[in-house]
Amino acid sequence: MKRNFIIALVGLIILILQQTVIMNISLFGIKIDLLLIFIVSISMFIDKTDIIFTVLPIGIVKDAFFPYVFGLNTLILVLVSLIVCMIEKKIYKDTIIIPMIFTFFATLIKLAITLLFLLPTGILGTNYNYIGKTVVFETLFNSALAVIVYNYVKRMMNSETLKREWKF
Amino acid sequence: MDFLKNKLLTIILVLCLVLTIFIGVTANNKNNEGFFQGVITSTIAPIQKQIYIAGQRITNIFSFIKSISTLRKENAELKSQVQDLKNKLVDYQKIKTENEEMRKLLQFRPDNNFKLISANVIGKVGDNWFNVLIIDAGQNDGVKKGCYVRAADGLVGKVIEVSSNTSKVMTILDENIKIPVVINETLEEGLLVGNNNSNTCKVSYLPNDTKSTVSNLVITSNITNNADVVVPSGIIVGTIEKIEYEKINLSKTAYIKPAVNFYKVTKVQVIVK
Repeated sequence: MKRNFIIALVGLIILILQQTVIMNISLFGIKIDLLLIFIVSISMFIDKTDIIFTVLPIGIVKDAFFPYVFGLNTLILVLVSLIVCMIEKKIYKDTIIIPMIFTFFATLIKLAITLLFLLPTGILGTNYNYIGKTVVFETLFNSALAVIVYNYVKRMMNSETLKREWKF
Repeated sequence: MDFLKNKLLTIILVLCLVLTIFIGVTANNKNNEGFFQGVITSTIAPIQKQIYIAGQRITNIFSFIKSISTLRKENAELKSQVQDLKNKLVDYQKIKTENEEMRKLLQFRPDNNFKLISANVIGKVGDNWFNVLIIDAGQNDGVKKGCYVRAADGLVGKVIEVSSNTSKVMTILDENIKIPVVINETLEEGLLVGNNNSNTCKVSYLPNDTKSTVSNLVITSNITNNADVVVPSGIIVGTIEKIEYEKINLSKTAYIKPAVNFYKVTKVQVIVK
């Protein structure tokens, strides 16, 4: 309970940082998605029942700020965290390459779902050069940053404060 | 049905279905407004505002350090620019007085029947797909959908969604923006559109034999199809960087450097009727 609450709170802080500071930083015109990297890293430590209810409020808040559509970010975050959660149990995850691979595919899933909903509705323009550039660079940048975020998340999840439950 | 016994799977399936319905409904209307969204954005807006301001201060420190090397050169350029502007000011005052007298004689209706609502930028959203700013003024302050937003340097964009205390502003860098503009020097009309969410935008449908050239000023035109919105003409959009011929629509396109620095924008004004 305490652990999930703190993770959701950290997620919301990262979302606010994403919308205020990180959106001003871009490489080759592409912005990284710190929240997605965080969710992927967290999903490697929590079981699937907990992850859904932790990710849900973060997704809803992101959607409230998102233009044109509501629900897209929640759907992406829930699906991505669930997929990571189910796969990570079946593999040996104690190497740094695993969170990178997870983030790589999570970004691809995120972009695929976004395009699936936004292209047919005409909300997104059909500039395939820009779409291609975004897919290539965002997956690469997110994967590279996953190394740092995963290490922080790992330290956070192993901390004694987070393991201790609330006593009422 | 075995899979229904698994409660988690049922919850996930229902959740995905509900979210897909939400996406479908809001995407169809291209509108993410509502009481629920309003409550969330209004709750988080004050925290976000403080963090945005702090982030801007850090950015300003870095840009100040970066600009030290060019300060001397910039100072000399600005001094010569001030001298030019002083000369122009004399002409301007004379023409302004003449214009006011003529307007009185012809009983012209003034075109400044608008008021300005000041607001702070509190965030940027839309990932890599949209270029949207969140401002801390909404329905309660009198902001309406479609209103134009300006900063001290020039046009920022227009309001696309309004909640009780916050609004979403589509900037002129966004791919979906479409604003009628005029080239100040030649009075040729065109349509301002985004340029792949890059730091430039472009003016399409300029005449094939356009007389506009590089460094010409682009300003807003007062054309609008929304009766609730007032569009003051003459707001600076930016300057032309290059002009290219578009084979597809047999017209020319001008690439614009926006007057507003979107990395540093913190204070804006919403133009309302």
